[in-house]
Amino acid sequence: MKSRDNQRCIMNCSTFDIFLDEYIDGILDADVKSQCEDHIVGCSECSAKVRHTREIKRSLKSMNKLSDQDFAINNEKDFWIAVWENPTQKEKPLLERMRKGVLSVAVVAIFSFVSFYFGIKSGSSQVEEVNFSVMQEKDVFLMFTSEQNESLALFTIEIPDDFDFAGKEGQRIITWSSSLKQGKNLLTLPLVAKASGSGVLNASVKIGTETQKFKIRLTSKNKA
Amino acid sequence: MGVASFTFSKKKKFEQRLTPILPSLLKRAYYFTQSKPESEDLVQNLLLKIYEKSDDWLEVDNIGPWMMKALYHLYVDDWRKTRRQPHLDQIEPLEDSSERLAEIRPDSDPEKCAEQDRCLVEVSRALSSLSEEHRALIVLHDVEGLSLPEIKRELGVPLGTLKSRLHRARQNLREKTKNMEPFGDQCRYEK
Repeated sequence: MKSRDNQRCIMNCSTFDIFLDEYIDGILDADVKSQCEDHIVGCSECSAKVRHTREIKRSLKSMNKLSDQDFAINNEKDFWIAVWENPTQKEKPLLERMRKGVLSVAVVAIFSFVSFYFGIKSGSSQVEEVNFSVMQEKDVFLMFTSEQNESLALFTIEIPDDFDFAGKEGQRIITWSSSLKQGKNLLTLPLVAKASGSGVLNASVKIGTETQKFKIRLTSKNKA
Repeated sequence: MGVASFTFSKKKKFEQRLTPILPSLLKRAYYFTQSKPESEDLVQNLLLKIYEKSDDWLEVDNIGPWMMKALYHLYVDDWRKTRRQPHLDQIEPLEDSSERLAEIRPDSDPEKCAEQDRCLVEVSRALSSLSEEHRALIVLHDVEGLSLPEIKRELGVPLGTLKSRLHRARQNLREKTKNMEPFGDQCRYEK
């Protein structure tokens, strides 16, 4: 790294900002690092920025918990058959077209989530809010946490008038059944805001005789 | 018949060369897109593009890094234009995720754990809203932990470009998470 002796004078916020990334990554020369630390001690704004950036870095690092093994291909033959299919004709993602259970991964990124603990809470309702711009498509992710494997769960989702299910224009309610595995399950719900407005997405999950209901407020605004 | 036989053989050779590196490609694609279906489509597009475009893959000695570089460029340069529409009927089991979350927070203080979860959600959300170029660099540097010189070697992008891009990407992340706990009241600094 080149010498930065010319920065030995008192560091101001603008100069500190130049070195911020290298300071956070711990790759600064000792003398510059020392000047950065002197500056941070006397500057609450830069001190807060360092703490904030470190927290972001910690969160980002915590996402790297998957290994190549989590993405192992259990059936190579089926994988390649799926690959060579014409991608314009496919209806489902690549590995969904293979046998179920071939690949399971942890998902760390979610736009919004609602957790339910079947068998612990009953009849509870939580409200999240998701904001759209008009004509924007966005995935709303719902996370379901189940204490045990459930072979049959009935899902019903009703959306407000100003929104569409992506690819299912005009349809307000969808109902389908699926299994839930023990632990966390993620439902991907692609929605499109077709006009400005606000309304409530009502969803319910029925397992046996027990029903959990929840709401998500959807708001769509014209871009400023 | 001869052509058909050659094509079959070429495809088989392609499959044999690429199969060992599929898990690492799928993992990297997943970190880029943060969506399992989208990452699968990204890898499929990559494989088809590489196979159909030329026979360069036959000549490459170390195909792993070569494919990683191609994956990066496909994602950063073209993916926004070609990404697929997501699907409704999709329930993904997040197996082992609770164990993985437990791994990253040895501190057993429930309040602190909840706080870290909120931070993770905020940062994930902010990361998803970055441009592909910024997101890919953050993934390589801050999620996967590659140094800038390593990224330079892998992608062939000049170090100065990577530094300024990382600086802007982190600025964007800070801006998008400025209300993130526990910094909500403290993030009153200029961008």
